Amino acid sequence: MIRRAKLATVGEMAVTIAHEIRNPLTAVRGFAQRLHRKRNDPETVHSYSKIIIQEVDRLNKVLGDVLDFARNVDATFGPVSLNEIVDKSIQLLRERFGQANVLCETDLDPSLPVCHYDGAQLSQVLINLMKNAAEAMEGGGVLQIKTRVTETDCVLEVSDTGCGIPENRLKHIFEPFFTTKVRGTGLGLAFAKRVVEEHDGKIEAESEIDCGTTFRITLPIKREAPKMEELIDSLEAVAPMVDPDDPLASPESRRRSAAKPWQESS
Amino acid sequence: MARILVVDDEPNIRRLFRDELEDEGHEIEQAGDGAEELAEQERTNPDLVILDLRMPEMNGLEFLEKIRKKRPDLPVIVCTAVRGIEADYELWSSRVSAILNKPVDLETLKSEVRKALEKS
Repeated sequence: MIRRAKLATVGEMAVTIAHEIRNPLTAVRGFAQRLHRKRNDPETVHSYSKIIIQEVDRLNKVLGDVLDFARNVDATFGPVSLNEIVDKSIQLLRERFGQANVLCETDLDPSLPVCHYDGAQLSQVLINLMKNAAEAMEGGGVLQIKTRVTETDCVLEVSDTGCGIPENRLKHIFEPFFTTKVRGTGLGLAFAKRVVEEHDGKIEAESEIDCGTTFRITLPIKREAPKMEELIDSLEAVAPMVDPDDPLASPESRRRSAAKPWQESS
Repeated sequence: MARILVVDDEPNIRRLFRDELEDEGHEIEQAGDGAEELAEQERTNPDLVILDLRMPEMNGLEFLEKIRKKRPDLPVIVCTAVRGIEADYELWSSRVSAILNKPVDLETLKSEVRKALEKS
């Protein structure tokens, strides 16, 4: 049964990838054919070259999505400030937002703690969400990014004022290869879900047609991992004690045990 | 000269086919998906349709089924990125003029358009 489900996914993947590759290839091949014929018309040459570059970039993005999703990345956890991730990710997309007439607003909770997360992957997740939001707001709109902290969790919300996602599609959006866009591999949100789950968190979406969509990521607060020196100290605290006079014990353990008097278990 | 309707959700592909077929002297109408196309079809009453199969609102096979009820003999050339035996069987059963694989060679497209229009 699982194998059949896996095969179905592989089948869907093959169809989606074929669609996402052969369509841009059709444009690239066709406009290249026409370029040759229109070589004496500079305006047309310019316009066709632009389309070819656009479609090649799209092919590259498809490949990037597939690679991002397919590779087995071992999460690299470290001290991360979600607010910093938001700021950096917005900077990366600032130009795109300007071109798309997207106004980006933030409401970041300064009391958000530094947590032990995978910053690179969370940044990619946020970028995926922000790009989706911008694409959902054809002609422009407002993109809001909020962070807040609860007793147990860090919460990140990305809201847009876009077209919204119909209810029957909303429940499928985190499935790999499901897409509501005309163009897209349907891997961006599946990747987001996987990353969030690697953090023991959850991702949810609420949407209203013609009003917009909000994605909410809830990540349990994970304090920074203890430093190596702290780890050694804590190990020493529980290390088995030896008789300081035991000639078979190592000099180090005899020294430690002498410092912390030997106690018989009662 | 013929009135040709290009139905494809890819704007660049619609533009490509339009430019190429307009150079041949045809008049081109475009639609972004099957549902839009049906409304368009009522309006333009084309001599031939170039149809993509995988579209967001109504897929090409659904469209074919509906259009055949109204225009049983309308020449339709299917242009698809993904082929399958079942879809091919359905397409031939729906008497399509040709099935072209993307990426399409423009010379092949024009030759199939000519053949389909001659037959009709």
